[in-house]
Amino acid sequence: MTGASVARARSSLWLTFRDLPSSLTVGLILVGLIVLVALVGPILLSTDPTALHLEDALLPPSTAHFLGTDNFGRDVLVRIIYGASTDLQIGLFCVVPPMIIGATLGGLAGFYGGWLDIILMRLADVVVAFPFFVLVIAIVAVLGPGLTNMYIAVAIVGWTAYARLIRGEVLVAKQADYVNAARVLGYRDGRILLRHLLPNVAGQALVFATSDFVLDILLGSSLGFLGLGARAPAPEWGVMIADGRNFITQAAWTTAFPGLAIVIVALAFSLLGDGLADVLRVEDRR
Amino acid sequence: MLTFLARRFALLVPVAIGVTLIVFLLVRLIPGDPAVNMLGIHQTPALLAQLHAQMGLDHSLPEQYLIFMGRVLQGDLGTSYFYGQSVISLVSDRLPPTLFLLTYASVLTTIVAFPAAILAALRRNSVWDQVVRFTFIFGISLPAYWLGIIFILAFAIALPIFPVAGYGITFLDHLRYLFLPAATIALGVIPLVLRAMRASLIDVLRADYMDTARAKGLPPRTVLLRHGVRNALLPAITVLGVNIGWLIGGTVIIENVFAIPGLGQLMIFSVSNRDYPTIQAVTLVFAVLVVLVNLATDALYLILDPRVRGSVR
Repeated sequence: MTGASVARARSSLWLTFRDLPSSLTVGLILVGLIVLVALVGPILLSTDPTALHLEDALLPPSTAHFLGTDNFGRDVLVRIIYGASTDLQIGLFCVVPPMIIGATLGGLAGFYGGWLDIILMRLADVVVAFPFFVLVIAIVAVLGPGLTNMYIAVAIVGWTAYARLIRGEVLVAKQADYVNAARVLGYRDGRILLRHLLPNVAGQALVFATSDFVLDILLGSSLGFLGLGARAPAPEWGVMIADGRNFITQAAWTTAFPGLAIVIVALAFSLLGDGLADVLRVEDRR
Repeated sequence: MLTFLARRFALLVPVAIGVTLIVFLLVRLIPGDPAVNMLGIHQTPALLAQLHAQMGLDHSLPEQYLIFMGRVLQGDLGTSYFYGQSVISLVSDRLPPTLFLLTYASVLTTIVAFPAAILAALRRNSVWDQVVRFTFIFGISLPAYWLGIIFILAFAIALPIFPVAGYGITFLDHLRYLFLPAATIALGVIPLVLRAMRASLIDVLRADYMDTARAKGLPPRTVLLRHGVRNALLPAITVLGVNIGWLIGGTVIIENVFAIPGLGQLMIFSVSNRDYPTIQAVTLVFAVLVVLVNLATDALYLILDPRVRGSVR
């Protein structure tokens, strides 16, 4: 490669970076920071976020406790930092299993059609007739409260959205020339699905997954708030808000700050998703 | 039009069967004797025997489903373990506050979202449009239950304008008591509705009849209001109908924040008391509500838009 072409490659790389929507850049930076806090925070702090210090109960924000303490004297900031890994984990475990199940079923339904398609899509119609939140709560109610059961419930309900999305995309994509070419080459269905169709339909699923991630963090913390997800004394933001609510008039910080943490994380991922959607739309146009 | 509605109803049958099937299977998710699982802490030998007979547990699963359906169709949803009352009367007592709240939140959503969407659609890519876009991103990032608590703190405790919780007795009471909860739910739905309304308005503004109206020399205001807004109202209503599931989800959690004696509060309360017949019934009622609202949205479309009527026949 000549010097000039390297320079050109570099400048085009810089251009692509500069062309990124600002929402994507800001979202990426924020998400990076949040993940860093969730991963490194607990290692640096290495305290027990559930240990009681009753003598320090309900202290307002100060230099000793930046965001104050809760009714058990636990530092709110420390619990928020520990909560970051819980709430990110909630988002992840509520997104990935439904995505894998939904993408697989939707991909197969779209690719093969027939009775599989009919049964799966009618099943999806029925699941969608329930308000998402209500059906998740009903399933958690039967399985019993707790994070694992919440993940199971979300997987049972949440796969439908991914299945519908991927099925639609596959239906369109399987008509494309590159799929016919792959067929002519004699590739097996599995290879066509995984190596040819999946990369082409993954973008939309990814955009959807980012907004789904936001909704799931809100859902997970809501269930924590209602006592159906993470359980006290776990440092989960929804649980913290539920605890803090009882002291709202004396110590609003115990409620306000965990909520702000949720807003910041949700905002970061929303920006990321918005930017991602923008980039993909641009690519579609090209 | 009647044939259209009849056909729409016919399509509902498989969904209705599926919905009842899911509600039926719900308590059978756990392996073992469903009657034992359902009764849980409420278990007594007499109740167990009664439930066995009631659920028809000595029959096959399909037969059990038919028994269940037969009872549902007769309006018998079982007896609540906690309240010792028939579930159907429990649910019908709790339905009005929930419906009131849902309607109130929908009205507030429309009042805010529709004018904002018009502004954003008229001045595309302006500051206004950017504001609308950011409102969407920001709005979907707010946890409703937390916002509700902050509202209580701000507008019921610090500035005692609204009651902290409850439902009230008269219609005016309801309007006052439910304002903060309805506003909280609306704030969660406005971003979704706003974005969809903006898109549909942009389509309407580009339509040929808008050009015709302008070419006739009608004043811009008349063009916008008589031709633009009127045609955009319909998609706007649909957007609200499509989002009924989110509205209900919001209602369930917000009723628990503001202590409103509706179905959502009943549901969470029944979950903590493992009152399965009530959980089943509330889940079923919410699903029926979603299906009915979707049907009503379709019917409304039919009534308001003569073109749909023509194309259906």
